[in-house]
Amino acid sequence: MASQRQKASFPPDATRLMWMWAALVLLGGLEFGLSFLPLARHARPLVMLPALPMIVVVAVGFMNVMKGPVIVRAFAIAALLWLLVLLGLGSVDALTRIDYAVLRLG
Amino acid sequence: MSDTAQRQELWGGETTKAIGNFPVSGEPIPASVARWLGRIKAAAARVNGELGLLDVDKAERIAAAADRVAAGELDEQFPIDVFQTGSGTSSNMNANEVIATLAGEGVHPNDDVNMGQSSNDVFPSAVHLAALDETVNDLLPALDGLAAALQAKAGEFADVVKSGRTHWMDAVPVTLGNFIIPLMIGARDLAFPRLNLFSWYLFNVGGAVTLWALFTGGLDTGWTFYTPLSTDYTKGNVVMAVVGIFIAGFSTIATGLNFILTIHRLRAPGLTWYRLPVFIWSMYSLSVLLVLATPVLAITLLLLVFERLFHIGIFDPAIGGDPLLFQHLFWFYSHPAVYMMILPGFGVVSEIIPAFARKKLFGYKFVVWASVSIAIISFFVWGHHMFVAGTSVYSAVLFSILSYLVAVPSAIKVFNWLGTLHKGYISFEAPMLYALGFVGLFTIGGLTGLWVAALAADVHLTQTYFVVAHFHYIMVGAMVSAFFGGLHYWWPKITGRMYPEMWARVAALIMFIGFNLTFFPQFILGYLGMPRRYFSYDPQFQVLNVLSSAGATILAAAYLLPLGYLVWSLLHGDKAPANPWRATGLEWQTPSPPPTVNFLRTPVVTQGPYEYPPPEKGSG
Amino acid sequence: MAIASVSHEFQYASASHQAQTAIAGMWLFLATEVLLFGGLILSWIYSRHFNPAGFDAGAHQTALTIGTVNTALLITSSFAYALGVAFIRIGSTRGLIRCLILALLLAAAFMVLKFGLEYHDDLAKHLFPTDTPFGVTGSVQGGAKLFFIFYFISTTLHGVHMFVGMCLVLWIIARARRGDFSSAYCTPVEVVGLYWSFVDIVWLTLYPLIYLVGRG
Repeated sequence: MASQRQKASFPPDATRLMWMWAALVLLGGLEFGLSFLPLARHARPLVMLPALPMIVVVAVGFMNVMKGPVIVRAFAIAALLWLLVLLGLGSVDALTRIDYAVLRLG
Repeated sequence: MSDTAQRQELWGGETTKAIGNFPVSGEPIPASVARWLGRIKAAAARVNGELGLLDVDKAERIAAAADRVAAGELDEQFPIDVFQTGSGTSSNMNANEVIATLAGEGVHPNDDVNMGQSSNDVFPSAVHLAALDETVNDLLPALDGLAAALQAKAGEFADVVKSGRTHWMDAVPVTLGNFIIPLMIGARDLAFPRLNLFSWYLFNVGGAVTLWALFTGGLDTGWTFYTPLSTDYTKGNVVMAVVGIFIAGFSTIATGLNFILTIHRLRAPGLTWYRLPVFIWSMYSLSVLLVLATPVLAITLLLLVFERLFHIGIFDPAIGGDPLLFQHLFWFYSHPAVYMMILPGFGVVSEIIPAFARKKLFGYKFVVWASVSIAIISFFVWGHHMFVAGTSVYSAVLFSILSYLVAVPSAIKVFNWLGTLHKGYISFEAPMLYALGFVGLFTIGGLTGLWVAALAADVHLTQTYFVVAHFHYIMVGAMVSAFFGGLHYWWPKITGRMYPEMWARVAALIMFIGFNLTFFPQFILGYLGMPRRYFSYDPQFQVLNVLSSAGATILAAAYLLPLGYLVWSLLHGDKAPANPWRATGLEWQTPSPPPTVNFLRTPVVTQGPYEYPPPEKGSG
Repeated sequence: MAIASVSHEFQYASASHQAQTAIAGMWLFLATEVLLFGGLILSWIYSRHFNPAGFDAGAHQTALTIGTVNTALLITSSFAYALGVAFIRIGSTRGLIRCLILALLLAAAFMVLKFGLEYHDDLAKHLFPTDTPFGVTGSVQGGAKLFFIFYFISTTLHGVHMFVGMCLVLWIIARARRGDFSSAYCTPVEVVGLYWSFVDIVWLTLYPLIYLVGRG
């Protein structure tokens, strides 16, 4: 054990991880900058777009989703798909409701 | 009577013409509008008299006549159809003519009674004033009376604990699942045994907390906890009950996670996916539901508790929140929840029928993929619980179509079970009786599910006993039968004892009879319009309700019988061999009851499931 | 050189069989957490859709600087943990411990900034939904309250997850100091790392929802 400790002082993975970190900081900066664009109210959620590649970087770079057994990727995809069903199908009602104006007295 | 016979028509030519012109609905203008026309005319006459525009004597006579109209003495003198053109001109003239006739000599309908007025003002005013009058003097007091009556009724039932939603979803997974899954796949234990134990503790704690909430204060929101009743208005023990359910929910998630990983990772050598018994596929599908739906319930309950504790929340309409959001989040879990309840039943029955028909399961891959499809599609249909809640019609139509879609895989399975029975060598041991009952009752329950999935039909059937009967046919008729079937089928394996066959068969038959007697009348009750969650009912529903209650008593006997003889069998039953049913499946290759490590030697699988020897031709 | 044989539980075929199952198990647990926070996101969608002006009026009150600094802290913390895992994979327990302590410190800074500083400011500005008078007035008040209900619930829930994560990281550090881990066996380190990075992902989702989208 002791001999192993002196052997390699820095992990070979470290460089890759630092690139991941840099990518995250860059994307985060991009997202921060995007938020200052004068977008219309219904278009504002587009500001979130850089968050998607950031999540991918964390999942691939730090969590190693592409390594490991196949079911790991199956679970990750299932989570995303089900989230989309919840948000998508769940929003259909909100987006297609017809709002009848209510007369407010006083 | 004689009064009205004597009273002829007091109206004149204009009114007669109008009666002829508008034969539309046969509905005259409402009496209250006619009376308010009278009040307006009386007021106008008095003002005209005071201002000197109208002769004082005439004004008094007109006012007196109009007062009689206002008092409701002359309601039948206003026969013109409510659907009339102009802005009520015809009915205005009607009033003018009737009052003129009553006022006596020299009073002209238009020049005198209608002096200073125009239909454009008079008629809409009469309508608005009549509406205001009826609202304030009739509707609002009636609503107050209704509220008081409901309050009194709620008080009467304050001490009654109603067991709403039972935990049948946990019955098979907790008992048969934990025991049988590792055996069936040739594993020595589940993937995460300590997590399993923790899940068991959570289950007990959560259950205890929820029961405590029920018995110390009760819960009048029902198991659905709809807002704003649950957040703002109820005085029940919502927070404690919700905390209990929250804890139990994590037990569920842990179990689902354990089952999925166990089935993926701990199968015996040679046990490929397509060699797995359908019970495993069903439990796998169930576990997908447990794992993905329950967390949404967890967050929903958190949001609910926040709103109840702080008296403000995300569902609060006073600040622009949407109470329907609660229902969306709640049913996103609760619809898969009902499939969680039935999927183990599918699995159990798929094991029992091949065993007692001595025949391979018909269409194995169809059954397998039908189970998986049910698990997936069940996430797309939750909106059918909200058809009349106020969601958008487009959303409702979409959910209705998807709900029809989810019935297809279930139907496929029914045909597969029937196909398995066809030309099989069938014997009627107790597990088989329960399984056969399952197939029939599930078919009825499933078909009636289609009726309530149809948006238009559901508008009539929702919140009636029809829905209650539908889901009880599935949950009790089908699932409880499947549970008892599985219990009897694996009883020898789990306990090492045989139960008494004759008593078991009797219990199965009694259950079938009792169940149908209890719940079939409820289909009829619902169709006739009896609402659900009502404790008292119209006398016309008496007979059906009594039949239902009688059936419930018989059903209770059918539940108590197994309690008796199964306990007896633990002490005095015959010792069970490893494979009393001569069934296929790895669980039968190990002694009854199994050793702690399940298998003394890891089995190796070389063939598919259900490799039953073909039924012998020509033998009895 | 003897490779230490790692023991495994009796239902598993080998140590690596168990290790990979544990990792898969954590991923499945994280999938459940996605659905947990997913419900919150649906409530964000509904609240903003039905109260656009008010919801965004609430968003304008958030502390953008603190939020952005916190995002940088968590990104770095996630990186630090992953680096720690890389160290133990080459057998360096010392590297592991140092990286994990860094990750923990960065997380602690997050917690102090968020719950010590930012919540303090929010409460001082009367932004808790039950506050009267509420920090946002006018016709947009309802929507702003909805925003802050979402804000407080989601950040508290995230904070609870952070706290649990920090306890787990401490536990890993303690075990590492006892010499439990090596290049042959570091499964608990990886499993906790998955959880730790996931809590970062949750923040990466909450950050724009809270601080950026409504700020237009």
